[in-house]
Amino acid sequence: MDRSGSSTTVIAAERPARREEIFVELLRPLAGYGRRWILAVAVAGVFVLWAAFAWAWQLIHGIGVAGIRRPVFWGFYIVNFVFWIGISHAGTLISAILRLTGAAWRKPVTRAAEAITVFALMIGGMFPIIHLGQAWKFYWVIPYPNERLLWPNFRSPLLWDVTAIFTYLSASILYLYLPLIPDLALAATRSHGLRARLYRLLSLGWEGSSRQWHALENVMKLMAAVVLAVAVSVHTVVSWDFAMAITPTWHSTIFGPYFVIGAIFSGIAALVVVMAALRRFLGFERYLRPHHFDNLGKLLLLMTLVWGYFTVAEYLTIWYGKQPAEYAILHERVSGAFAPYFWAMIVLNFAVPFLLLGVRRLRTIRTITVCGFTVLAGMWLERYLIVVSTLSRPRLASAWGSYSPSWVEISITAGTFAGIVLLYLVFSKLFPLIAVWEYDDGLDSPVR
Amino acid sequence: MVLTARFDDEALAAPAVAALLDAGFEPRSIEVFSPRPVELPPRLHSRRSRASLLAVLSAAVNGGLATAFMFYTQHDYPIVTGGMPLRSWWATGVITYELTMAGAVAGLMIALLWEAGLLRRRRLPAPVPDNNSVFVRVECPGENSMPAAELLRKAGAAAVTAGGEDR
Amino acid sequence: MKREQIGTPRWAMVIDLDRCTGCEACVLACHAENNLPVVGPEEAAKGRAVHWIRVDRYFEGEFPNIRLKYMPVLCQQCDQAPCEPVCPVYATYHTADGLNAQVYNRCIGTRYCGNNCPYSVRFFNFFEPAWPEPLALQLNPDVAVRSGGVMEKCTFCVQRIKRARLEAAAEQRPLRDGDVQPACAQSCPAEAIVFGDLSDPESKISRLAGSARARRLLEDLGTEPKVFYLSRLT
Repeated sequence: MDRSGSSTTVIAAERPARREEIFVELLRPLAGYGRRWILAVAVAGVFVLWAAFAWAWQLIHGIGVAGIRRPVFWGFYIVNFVFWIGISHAGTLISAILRLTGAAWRKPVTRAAEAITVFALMIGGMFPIIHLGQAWKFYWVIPYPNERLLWPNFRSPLLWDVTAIFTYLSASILYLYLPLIPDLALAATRSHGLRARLYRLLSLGWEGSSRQWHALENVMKLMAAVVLAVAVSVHTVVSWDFAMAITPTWHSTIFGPYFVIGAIFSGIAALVVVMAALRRFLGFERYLRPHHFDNLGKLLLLMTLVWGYFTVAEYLTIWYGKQPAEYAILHERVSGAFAPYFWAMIVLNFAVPFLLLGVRRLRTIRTITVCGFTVLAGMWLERYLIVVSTLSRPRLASAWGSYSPSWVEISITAGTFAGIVLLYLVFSKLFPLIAVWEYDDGLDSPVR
Repeated sequence: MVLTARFDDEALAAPAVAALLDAGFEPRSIEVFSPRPVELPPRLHSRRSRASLLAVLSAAVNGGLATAFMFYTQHDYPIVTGGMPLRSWWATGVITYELTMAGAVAGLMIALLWEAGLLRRRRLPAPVPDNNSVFVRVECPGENSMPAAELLRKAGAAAVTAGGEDR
Repeated sequence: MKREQIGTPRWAMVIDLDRCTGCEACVLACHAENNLPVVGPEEAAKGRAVHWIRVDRYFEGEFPNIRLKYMPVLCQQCDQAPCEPVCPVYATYHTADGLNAQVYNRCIGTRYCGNNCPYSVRFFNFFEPAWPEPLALQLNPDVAVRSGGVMEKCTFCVQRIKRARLEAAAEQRPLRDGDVQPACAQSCPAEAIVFGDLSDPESKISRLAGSARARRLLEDLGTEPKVFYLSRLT
């Protein structure tokens, strides 16, 4: 062959060396437990345990230990549910869109994003159960022949939710797992004992044959399309929990897309925050490079604008139509009891990201990360406004009320934020956070 | 007889496979093992993937079963709520959609397990996956093994072993 | 539909707002009849008090020349009830005689129905109910005591409807107009509340509900409530 000869030997000598370096570096977090890691696990663990205690307290004493009341029957738990389901759109949507469009820069980003999806869904899916008056009966919504001689009501949006989250969780776990298989097979060769056996078991007999690669890439492409369709539908269904009700300001036809773009918005924000953390604490500076952040920053800016557009569309129509029941809620949000939250939301979701991401000179890794945090806070506030301010102003003014969370709700909320950190910390010790096989030798290629 | 050639540069795998195919070796008897996907002559994988077909079928079956089940439950124990018809296509359509998609996901997973031959016993030993090298394995009758080894060596193989790599 | 068949009653209520004095005897009677939980002052201040029927006040005019108007509000037993289809476990559904039933034993406490009720007449048991002595001694044996974590609301005194039906069956006669009286109607000193069968064109309630003074609360939502309010046409 013509290609044999001196040039080949040079490549052969250089390439594997760099590959080996990447490989070792990306797998390094799996080995050993640093002091910082142990400390972080301990701190997060304390919060999670405290949240578990708070939930146990609520189960024993009754849901009344939470701050909900009439007419605000839904409070922090539903806010958190919507928030976490929104965060879960980080992985699937973003990674699926980037995979389908063949964006090469996604490669070091996708697994971190897909892991967020799975963890955020696990956490978000817990909240409707925590929120139940009789949480121990949650399985009554599952259709199975039972002693109550009753099937669940498939016409209820809550049943839609159950099926949507079931599908989404199964799909996103597979979507995270499938591209992990080759890495597991590779990691199995470099580890010993129990860990090697675990990896070998999970790699399902992967041997890296061209047929397997062919099948994996083909199936991942199809899976990305399916997951995309599911992700869009899931947050639409979550929004329909609200929009199917005739409650003023919830009964809105744009709620589906409004929630979907809000979910993508907060999903990107979460991804940026997680990537900054990985870069900082795992030393992935060489892999998560400025242009990754810059691209995500641009996406975040785009979503800021889209979110602003939807918000204006929603509020302007309510303001102009001036229907009394809806207007009362709008008034309460913009200049009433909820005004501080509303204006904080506008600043955090729009003003800050618009300024920091829109002005090119200000767009750095640091400011993009800051925007990630502000958008997370702003999107949480948006859900708080949607759930609580609407419910506190029902149609008949005699039933108007207020809401403030109790220590139980605050503890459980804090616990779930610690929970996702904990899950991530554990995940980082078990599986490589950047897809090793996908990470081709474009490492030192010039930035686009 | 099974020949396994090790290449230390993955760019050499494609020409090696092409040379084997040109020499008349069956695509079925050739297999390439690599730590990451490598470009190979398309004729190596002439069989079309059935993954999308399986996904569509399994989606249709699951969605159909889910819909049928919902209607069964509504006839089994008919309960009027909010003046809605018992068979509410609009309301149950969401669940039909979600479970159709769940069917597609399951179909894709099965397709991957089947087409990648995962979870199955291997007929031939495979080279141990390695981060650095690409292996080309040829299965051929004994009399063809010498020309095959010669081809592989000429294509730049660092080592060619007979009988497969040691496990 | 089944409920349109002859002989199936359609229970409804008429409340004459021009007669209502706002004395809240109906509220008290409802508490006694239906074993409503007593939550105590702190919980009530939080908005967790349970009153299946409440008396809303509306002020007309400028202070000091104001007129106070009263409006007793209870579950409107909507024919197109928004609370019903959203329940995932059929804890609330429509009975053949048009009642909006709440099955406590099916409820898991999602509270969705409470959010979707435009009249805010659904109540939640935030804790296990407890009655201070001697209130515990007057619990009505005909009415279930609800456990913590479930929704509840006005039933149109379904236990009284059942009893009247059993008595009529025992005497082998059809139900007569006036046989059923919920606790609120029974206790109203101004006789502002009338209860009866809307499917019987001869009943008192059919006459009243057909009056020009009759209207329904938040009628434009299309919930088809079965509580009619009579008030002066201005």
